Amino acid sequence: MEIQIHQHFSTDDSNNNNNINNNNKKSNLEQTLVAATTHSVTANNSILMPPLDTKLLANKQGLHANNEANNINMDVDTADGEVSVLLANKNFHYDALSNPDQSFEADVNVDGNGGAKFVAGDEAKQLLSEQTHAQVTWLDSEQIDALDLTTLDIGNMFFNRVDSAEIIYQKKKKEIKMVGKYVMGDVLGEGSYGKVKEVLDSENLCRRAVKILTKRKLRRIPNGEQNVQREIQLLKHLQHKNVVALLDVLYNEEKQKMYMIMEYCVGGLQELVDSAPEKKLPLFQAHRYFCQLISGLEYLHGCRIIHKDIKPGNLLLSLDQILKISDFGVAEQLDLFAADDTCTTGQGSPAFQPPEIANGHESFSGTKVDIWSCGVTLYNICTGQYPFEGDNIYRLFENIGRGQWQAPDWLYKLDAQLAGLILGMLQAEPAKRYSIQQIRCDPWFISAPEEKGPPIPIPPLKHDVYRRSTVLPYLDAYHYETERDLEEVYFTEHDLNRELARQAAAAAAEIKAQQQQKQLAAANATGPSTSADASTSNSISKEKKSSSLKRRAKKLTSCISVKKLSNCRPS
Amino acid sequence: MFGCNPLDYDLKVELSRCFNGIGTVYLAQYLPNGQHIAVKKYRMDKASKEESILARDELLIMRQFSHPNIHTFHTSFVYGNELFQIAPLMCFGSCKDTIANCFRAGFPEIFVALIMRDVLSGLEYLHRRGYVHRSIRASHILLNQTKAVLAGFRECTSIVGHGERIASLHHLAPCSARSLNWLAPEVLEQNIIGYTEKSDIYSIGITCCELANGVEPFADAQPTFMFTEKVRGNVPTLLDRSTCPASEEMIEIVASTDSDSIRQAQQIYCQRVFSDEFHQFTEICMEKKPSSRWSALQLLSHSFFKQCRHTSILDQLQRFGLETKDYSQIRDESLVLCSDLSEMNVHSNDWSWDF
Repeated sequence: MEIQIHQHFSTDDSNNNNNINNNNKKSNLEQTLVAATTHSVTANNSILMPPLDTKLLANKQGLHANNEANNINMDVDTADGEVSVLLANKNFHYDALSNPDQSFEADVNVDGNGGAKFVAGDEAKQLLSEQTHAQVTWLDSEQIDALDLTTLDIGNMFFNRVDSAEIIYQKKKKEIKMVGKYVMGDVLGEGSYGKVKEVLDSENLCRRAVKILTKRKLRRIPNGEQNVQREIQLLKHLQHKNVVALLDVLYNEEKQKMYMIMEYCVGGLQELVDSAPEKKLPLFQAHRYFCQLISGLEYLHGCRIIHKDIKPGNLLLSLDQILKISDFGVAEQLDLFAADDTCTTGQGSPAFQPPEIANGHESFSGTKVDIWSCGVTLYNICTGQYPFEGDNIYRLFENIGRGQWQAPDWLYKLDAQLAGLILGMLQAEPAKRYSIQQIRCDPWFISAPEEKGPPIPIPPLKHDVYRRSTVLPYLDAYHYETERDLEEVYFTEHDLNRELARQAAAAAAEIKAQQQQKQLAAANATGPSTSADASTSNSISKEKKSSSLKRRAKKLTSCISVKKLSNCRPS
Repeated sequence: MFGCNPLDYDLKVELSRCFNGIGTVYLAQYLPNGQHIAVKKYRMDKASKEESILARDELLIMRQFSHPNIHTFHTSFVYGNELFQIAPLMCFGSCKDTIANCFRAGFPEIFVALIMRDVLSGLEYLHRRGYVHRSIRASHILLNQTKAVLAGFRECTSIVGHGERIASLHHLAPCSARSLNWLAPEVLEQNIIGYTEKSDIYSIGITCCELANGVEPFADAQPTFMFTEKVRGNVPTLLDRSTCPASEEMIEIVASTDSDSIRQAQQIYCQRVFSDEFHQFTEICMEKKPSSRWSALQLLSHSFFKQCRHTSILDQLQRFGLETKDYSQIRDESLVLCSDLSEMNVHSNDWSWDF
């Protein structure tokens, strides 16, 4: 995602009421945010955009300040395909670099409205007036990433009132990007190591996912590079239906990036559970996934691999609902000549750790760690709760390590056999804990629960229930470029809000109409079937429409929320 | 009836190669009874693990079928590094071979109708048994004097799993890279909707175009372009007087830059007329929405096949002067030499000098 930040300050002779744009913005991927700040008095000129090739703002005003001295701190967060851009002016101290003896200071104070007041001395005005060209900073995603590094003084961060007409969006052009033979698509998810994007193999047209790892981000994670190397080494040799397949690894030395091409998965079990009502799956569906988890785990243990981080978030689902164990970042392969499965380190997620790790044992049985995690996972997907909880990791580990867990009565009421299996897997004593063979013989494991109602469907990605290829728009742009409007399209926040309000109203009207139609259809249920068919097909098309409207409407709320503050990370 | 001794099979001439060069098809005579058959030899030492599984599964799947329009094999056995598959001889080879040998600008309509009727009845049988073929194309339709049969089951899969019918398939077949041009849009899209046996019907439509035009649609296009075209609902057409494009576009279609051959092909296309039924038939097959495509059974009753009533493949072959040679006269002498040499190579490793 390319983001172009264009910041431009102008000062006036009168009271300098400089509105610094401090956008806290999440925009959809289709758009590039062009943020522009202008003097509030001359707000209308901010819409005038510079010719893009020169990357300079055509200066319509006489007085402009160089904004080089401003620190622009921003964070791009594309976890769910949305971008939040945070612009903060560090401290408004204009260091007149070109003219050291005439340094001026600008005082910043925040007025009652939350807007910033900017007072500059007379010299400063003179200085500023000499500068005829405002500098516009254009940033692409990598530069933004780099900016992310500069630490931000949070005390000086403030939010500003900006006229909605001053925030300018640019329609994002879908430009095709290739990595090797793979065509890049949209972001599927993001982890601490980097993004996961969808890609399309341009030779055999297979959908794939790519994990993009940047050296810079890896260095920040303890053992990051080591973990990735290990994961690649392990995954290369694994081949099982229920273990995610690593198909290719590409490197870009110049960009310091690594691309891990994996099987395409529609999402994790965690997202599926989160999307379900009451955050739990019907038992038959949970059983289906659990069986696959056990067969995947059996394969891994057979390969002397201890996963150590089994949890719903690391269990992915393919298009045909096949569970894939993923994330081997903390996995360990036992030595070929090891006497038993003794491990010494555990780096998994706290809530899924067994008592022996919670109590800080120096060595423990590796396979039994995975069994415990499977037990917690099964408990979690069946009930939507965790067997152990705690306000913080110490409390949590205290609870886990306290002693033998007892299955609550309501779990026995839900399904006594299930409670028995979970209890077997959550034995505090590793020796007493079930082995995979014992799980395979468990009555609940053997007999699938009755199918009651439909399974929880895979949650939509950006409102696309069918998970269509996100690479297609890029291919369209690439192959049919002449048909597309090549002109730059700009629109302001004001336009957007108005459009959204209009659409929201239209959507509300449609929903109303739809409800009426449903009532009518219900009334006509006894009538000829053809009319009923027609009305349902009608309502389906309307549902589709309203979902697309919803997507746009969502932006409104996302504008005021900050997804993530990267600068809060410990340095 | 057919034994497992490779020495009983007298290989006469190499007919074609398949499966990324792993497989070779020979015309052979079974010496004990003098019958001419086709021998398909797989060099398993060249095959990867996945490929050997595919070769095995193909035989296992083919063994389940019994239908006059589904290719069968008599027996199979392993000898040395090679997997032998003894199959009935399809004397004209695949439709692709026949096009390349005799009908450069495509088959006449009546021929396509006769072939398609056979293929569809084979396909209807497959679908009824719960299988999706996934790689229907001219090179997988074999011809002899009397009938056309459907072959190429490496990518065939069952839509029955764990005793129940799977609602839809989602993934591309392994090694499908070479049949991409024939695949239906919903197969290529690989989304949650998935695809069913109706995707084979789309491939039938593309194959019709291939048989009639003499060249596969999207032959020269980038796979990604073919993908976007199909997703947009753009479908290839039969080339005749009503649809023949200008010569600039012909370059793309014929997949050749030789101006003479383009002009020639264009001339042929512009002179012929396909019936409305044929045009309609291919359009129905290539409907973008799988549910509006007809099933194989419905297609068999399409008026396109009316013209097949009083004729047969044999009649038409005679009309076009296609005849088969006397097999016993055919012999490629170099083949014997080749096989001797290859055997020598195999054994050369065993030699050890004794001083």
